[in-house]
Amino acid sequence: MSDLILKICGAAILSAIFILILKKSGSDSVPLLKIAAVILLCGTCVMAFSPIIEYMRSLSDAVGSLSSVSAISVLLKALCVAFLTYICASVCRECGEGGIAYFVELAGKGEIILLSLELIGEIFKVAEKILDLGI
Amino acid sequence: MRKVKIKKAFFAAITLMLACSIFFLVAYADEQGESEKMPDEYGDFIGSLPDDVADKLGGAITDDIGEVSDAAIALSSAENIINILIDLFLSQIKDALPTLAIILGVVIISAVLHTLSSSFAGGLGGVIDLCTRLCTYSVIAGTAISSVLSLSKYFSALFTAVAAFLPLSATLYAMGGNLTLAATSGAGISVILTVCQFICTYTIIPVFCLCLCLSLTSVFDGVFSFAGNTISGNIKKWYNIALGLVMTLLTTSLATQTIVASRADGVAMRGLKFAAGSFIPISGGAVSSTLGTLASSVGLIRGSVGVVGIIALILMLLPTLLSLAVRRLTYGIAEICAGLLSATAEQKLLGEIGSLYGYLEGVAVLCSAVFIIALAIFGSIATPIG
Repeated sequence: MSDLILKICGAAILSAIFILILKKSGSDSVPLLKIAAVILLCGTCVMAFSPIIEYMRSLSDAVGSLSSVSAISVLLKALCVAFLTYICASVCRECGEGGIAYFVELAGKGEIILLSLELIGEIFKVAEKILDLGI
Repeated sequence: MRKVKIKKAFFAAITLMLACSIFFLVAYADEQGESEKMPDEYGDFIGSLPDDVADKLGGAITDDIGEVSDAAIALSSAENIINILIDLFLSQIKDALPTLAIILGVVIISAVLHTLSSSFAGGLGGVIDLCTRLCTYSVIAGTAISSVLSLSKYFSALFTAVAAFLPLSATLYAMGGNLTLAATSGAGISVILTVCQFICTYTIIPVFCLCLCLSLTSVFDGVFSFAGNTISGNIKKWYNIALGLVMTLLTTSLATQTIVASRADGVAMRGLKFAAGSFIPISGGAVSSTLGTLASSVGLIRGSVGVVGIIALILMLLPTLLSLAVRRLTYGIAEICAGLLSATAEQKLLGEIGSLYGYLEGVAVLCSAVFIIALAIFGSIATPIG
């Protein structure tokens, strides 16, 4: 992991320097390069964090025995949506498209709230199960 | 001549006495084996208890009065009760450890995600926090089902055992001469049983669910303000006060009714005993002494049955109570860990859920205390025929 972080940092700095040079030369492919660098670094980070994601999935299976919906898998989805939204909005802002970035963030928030509603529904189902127990 | 007449009269008298002695009834005391056995209703009461409780009663499951009284003394010893308490506590701790591990895992994930969400701009961090809190609450709320299930099973077993105890108490009261009490105590305990069944069926679990849903509003702190926790806390407080008041009134009614009825029976029986001793010739005194012996025997049976009944109720209550207490301790430990990790929202959620378990503990103890006091009164009432 310590090697990987050094590689990620090195790649990020090199990409930033390269983009700066291209900006000064007036090249039109600067936004495309930014997107490519972001996607590459994002993919590398996801691969680096895969043991953590596997651990959270195993915890999700254990929680699944207690709750009908694996709440942690919902949380993982929400986190992925948040990261994707944030990266996409950042790239749009970098390209000067603030309006598009705003609507991307709005869509991301809506998606996370939809996932949260699923959890609220599960909580009410738990309350319903408890009411059905009776004495 | 006169001497001959006297001799003849003397011999005739002796002959008459000897002839009459053939027809005298021979009276003797015979040991009645049946009086040393417990009534049949005792076996029905023991049969109504759950299997694990019956196993722990051990030597009390017998027909012999002496063995039951010895078992009652052994079961009620401090050493026995402490051993049972320690065994149950350790088994509950063992069952609660997986739940604690999972809750701590969820709290740690929440704390990590809170840290990550602070790096998101544009309100994304806020919705991630909301999702994290909902996830934590969903996991914690799911663990409540098993606790409520064990509580409902406990109440079912309690009501079954108390219903089975009513005929036994009526029989033992009648045997001891408490005829008024035999007629009235069953009605009194039946009323308490009906009230407890109504309360447990229609109020305890709905109030628990209402408080669970109200505590859900604390998840939305920061999004909108709703004093759900305050409302939930007040509901629990007032419910416990009302329940305590109802149980106190019912117990007072039962105790006063029992005392007055037993005194009335005492007066009636003493009058009967005096009449038997005074107006029945020759054997009246023996009847009076026999009644005293019978009173001692019935008193022994009643005291032993009362103690066995109390121990049985406590053995039924302890696993449920300890399970709720250990679960509450689990949430307390998780709350402390959440505080250490600066997960304040999760800390608040865990505290709120923990207080719900306090409500369940209070309800279980209040409903059980009434019947334990009723059994204690039953075992301590003196037999009036003694």
